[in-house]
Amino acid sequence: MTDSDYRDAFHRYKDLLFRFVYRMTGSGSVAEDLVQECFTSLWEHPGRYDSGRGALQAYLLGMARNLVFKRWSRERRYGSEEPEVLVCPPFDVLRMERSEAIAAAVQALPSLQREALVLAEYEELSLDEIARATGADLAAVKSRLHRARQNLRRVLAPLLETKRNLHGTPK
Amino acid sequence: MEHQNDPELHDLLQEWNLPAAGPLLESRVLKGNRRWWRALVHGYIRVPVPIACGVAVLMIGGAWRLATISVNGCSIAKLVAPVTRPSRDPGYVRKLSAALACKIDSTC
Repeated sequence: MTDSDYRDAFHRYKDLLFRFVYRMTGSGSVAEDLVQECFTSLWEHPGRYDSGRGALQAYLLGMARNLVFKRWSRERRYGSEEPEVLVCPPFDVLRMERSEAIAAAVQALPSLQREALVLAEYEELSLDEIARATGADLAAVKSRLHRARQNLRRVLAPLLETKRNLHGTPK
Repeated sequence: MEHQNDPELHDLLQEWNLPAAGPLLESRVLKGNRRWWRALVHGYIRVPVPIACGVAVLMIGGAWRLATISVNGCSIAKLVAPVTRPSRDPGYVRKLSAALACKIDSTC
């Protein structure tokens, strides 16, 4: 990888990685640290990226995701025993700012559901791309996404209701 | 796109806006890789295959030439005594040394 390839990759994917890690961890400074770690690793070990196995975007997202999970496992915030079917606890979203409430609801999702949801809803990746980035099979991604949406619909129901009333959308 | 499965939820989720990455990130990532000691440890250069092959041939040729270079007009190969059969004769080593000394002293 030449210097100019590296710069191109940085400018093309830095925001995507930053947003993804930020939404996963809820911290801008952690997101910056992990994005830096991703690109440093790409620079130091360019041979680890095999273009035959997928796009650079999926490779970088996969690396960012692994760094997030590694960090959580160091901080004992994530263990392999975390059930995928976990339902996030309800909280009073009406007492919060809308954007704050949505952030809190996404943050409360179980990690695997959250990553699938963030990649699908915010980064608009297809199911195939999410499966490649997360190393999961398609069925698992579909199921995580479905559960994440169910969880969010339940937790954010008051906000959805308000929105419907404001726009006069029928139930 | 998959968000079309639930457009209402998708629209609501878009209300969570994020601040952009700090301006320092670029300098941390792009300038951080230019530290000279990093280049020493992790740096690499790209060499086109024909040039690499040419350099390899030149190096092998140079090494061969060095091995057969003449010392005072005598090739190293000529200085080596033609030992064809190991001998247990105690005088053999003495004779061999004398022969070599004679060859070096002579103009070959």
